[in-house]
Amino acid sequence: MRIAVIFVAVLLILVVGLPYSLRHEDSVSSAVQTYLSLALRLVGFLLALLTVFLSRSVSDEIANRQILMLMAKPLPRWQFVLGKFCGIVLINMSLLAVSGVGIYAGASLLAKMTPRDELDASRLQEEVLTARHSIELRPPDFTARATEVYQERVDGGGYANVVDHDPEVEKERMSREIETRWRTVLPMQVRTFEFENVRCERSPDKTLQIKYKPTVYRYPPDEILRCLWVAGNPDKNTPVYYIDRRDMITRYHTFSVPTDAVAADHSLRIEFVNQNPYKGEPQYANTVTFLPDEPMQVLFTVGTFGGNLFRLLSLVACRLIVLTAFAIFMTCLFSYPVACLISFTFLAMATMAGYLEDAVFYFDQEGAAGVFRTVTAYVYRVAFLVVPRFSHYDGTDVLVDGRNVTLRWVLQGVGVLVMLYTTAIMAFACIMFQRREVSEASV
Amino acid sequence: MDERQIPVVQTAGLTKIFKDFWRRNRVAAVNDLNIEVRRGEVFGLLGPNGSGKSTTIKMLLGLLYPTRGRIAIFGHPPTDVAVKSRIGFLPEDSYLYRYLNARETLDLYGRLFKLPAKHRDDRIEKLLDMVGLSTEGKRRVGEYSKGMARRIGLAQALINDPEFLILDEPTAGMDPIGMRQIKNVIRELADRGKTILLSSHLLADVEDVCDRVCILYGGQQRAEGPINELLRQDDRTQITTERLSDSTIERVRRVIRETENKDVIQVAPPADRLEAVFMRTVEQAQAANIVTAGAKSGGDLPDFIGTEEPTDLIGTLVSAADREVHKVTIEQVHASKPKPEEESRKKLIASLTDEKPPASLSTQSTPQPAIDETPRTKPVADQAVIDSLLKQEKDDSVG
Repeated sequence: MRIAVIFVAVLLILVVGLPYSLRHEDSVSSAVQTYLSLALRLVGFLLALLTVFLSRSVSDEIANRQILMLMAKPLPRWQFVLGKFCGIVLINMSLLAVSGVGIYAGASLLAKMTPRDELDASRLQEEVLTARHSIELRPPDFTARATEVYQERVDGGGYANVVDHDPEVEKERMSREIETRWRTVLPMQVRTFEFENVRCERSPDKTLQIKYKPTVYRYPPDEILRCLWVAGNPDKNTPVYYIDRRDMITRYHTFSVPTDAVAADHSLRIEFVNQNPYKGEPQYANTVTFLPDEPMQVLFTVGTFGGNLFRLLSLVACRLIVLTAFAIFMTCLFSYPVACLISFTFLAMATMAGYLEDAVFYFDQEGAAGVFRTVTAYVYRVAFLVVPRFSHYDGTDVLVDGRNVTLRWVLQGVGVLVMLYTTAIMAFACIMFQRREVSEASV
Repeated sequence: MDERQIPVVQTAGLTKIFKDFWRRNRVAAVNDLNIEVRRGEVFGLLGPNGSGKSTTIKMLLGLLYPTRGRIAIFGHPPTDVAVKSRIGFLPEDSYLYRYLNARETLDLYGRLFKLPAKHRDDRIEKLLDMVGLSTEGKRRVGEYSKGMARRIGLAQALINDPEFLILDEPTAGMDPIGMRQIKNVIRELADRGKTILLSSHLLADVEDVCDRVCILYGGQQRAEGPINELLRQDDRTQITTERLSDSTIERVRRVIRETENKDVIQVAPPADRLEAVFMRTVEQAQAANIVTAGAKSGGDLPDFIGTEEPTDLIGTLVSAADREVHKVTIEQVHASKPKPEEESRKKLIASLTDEKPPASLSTQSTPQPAIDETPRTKPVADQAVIDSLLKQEKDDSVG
């Protein structure tokens, strides 16, 4: 149990030491973000290591032969395996709970520091220590408009010289064209975007955030884009807010708007004014586009930081439970160093599942030729049947960004990782342990 | 089928072949073994190192799976978990959890048998008393000497009051007092109707306690039978008396030569067994209250062992009485051995039988016909001479 003591010591250093060392970051909000990111990753990593180390309890009992006495008692083997599993899960959960409290305390401690300015203070409260829901801007349905345009063109004899054309393909193409035009804002032009279902508390004191990434066709000399945002819809009796921005191009930017800009029917109207060329400054008359895979988002508070942290740690717990099951499975079958190695490989693969899948997919597409490619791809596919994708259940970035770790995500984690993977792995572990001889050959 | 008729252990063609990494047969640890352990007997599994004793025991417990052949424990396969609640097992070495103390260790194993807490505490105290570790119960077992760990091992094997005890080299690592105690415990357990299977290569131990033995060599069964049959030298007679004068010896020689026409092979004062000398010395030291950090000599077998099953009372009675008679025959040959268990056994039988003398019971139906059929009378030389000598010797042993 010395290992648990060491873990708690590391945790203490983390809670007390890390905030201290981060005090000199340029702003409080980014210090808290760095702290959360580091602390959560470190706790997850340490607990994963601890899980694999603790799982040696099974192979140790076999190696030290205590199992001989245990299995001579009326104790079904599956109970032994399940007992070991439950023990490690219990240790993990208690340490995770302690870490959670520690991280919360550490973050609160850091947040008490004097903010750099008012913006920093509000950013900390509105964008970091919170749980925000995000809605991505979806383009309106342009099919009706496309049909109309197509019909006009047909009526105007636009297809007279085209021998054979598919009206559906043609309409689809037109729809895309209209959408592209909708995404693109010409110099000095204004575009109106409409968000639906912004179900936040409407108040002049609370804010919501708009996050966007502008793309331009020509880089301005100072790489700065001048634009004006107008939030609110006077037709729906909301106040109107004007936000004048100078943004570095091709970066994500966020600005805050009081939540009473949202109308009673939960719609939010945003107008974008392309101010280039800006008066008196040497600027190109630049066209701005919001690309489809970098959609504009509205972010608004739906929960507290504490609840968000709890949900995030629940996801961590789900991952640790699967890892525990797998580590127990391996130590039921193999001696400790072998089991340890396999468990760490499992952990690495699961954690990097996202990158690995992409890499293998890419490799399969255009990598090395022939048999090698096929075999590698096949091996990975089989491996990923067994290895769960931990990267799909990692909410650290979401939490650090002050976004909501949804309950739905957590339930999905419980369903897939705990119900599906853990149950299957434990069932295998019990069956294999039942079949194995617990004493080694000695003649 | 009547539960009492089923042998405790029965194996048929039991074979265990250990394979190497490439699944090639490496060594046959046990080869076509057929043994039967009957209810109430002490069965010895003998053999040199590596003859397959431990492998056999591990297969009986379901810790190893046989390559071929079948095993029935109380008529069930060894993988049947329920059967294990009737078994007590002492492995060749006590593999304890180093960080638990003696009491916690026994409590753990008691819990595995689902004994209620109160019951458990009671049994733990009694067992610790028995193995002489009640004062050391708070110490981590990791600090124990090998012999002390062994004692805990014995205590845990008895925690469930098992019907069937498997002892793998029970006296290994024990001091002679411990050995003596273990042997006494084994005999007493047998008297309370327990079935015991023990493996050993210390033949003196086996000779003292076993009813029947099986000798293994290279995984194969080389000899099997009741121990007194295996040991008896039918062509010899031994007479033990108080010290005789040379003239008397001469007269005895003459009588034997005249009536039987046979020579006396050896006349000598019988050597005391070292064990007896050692036990005497230690008893004297204990009487003088000399301090030791080691194990104290333990107490008696706890009263819960074998007494909480009323159905077995008759069996206990019959087999104990049976062994009583059986023991008397052996006494005639090995009169010089110490027999501290005699008294307690006699008391036990007296308390159970009330009026009937034990000897008369042995003629009634018993579950061990094999033991019953063994001849108990020995070939005699001169009945008159031997009778007179025996009388003298019996008076001694009572005194």
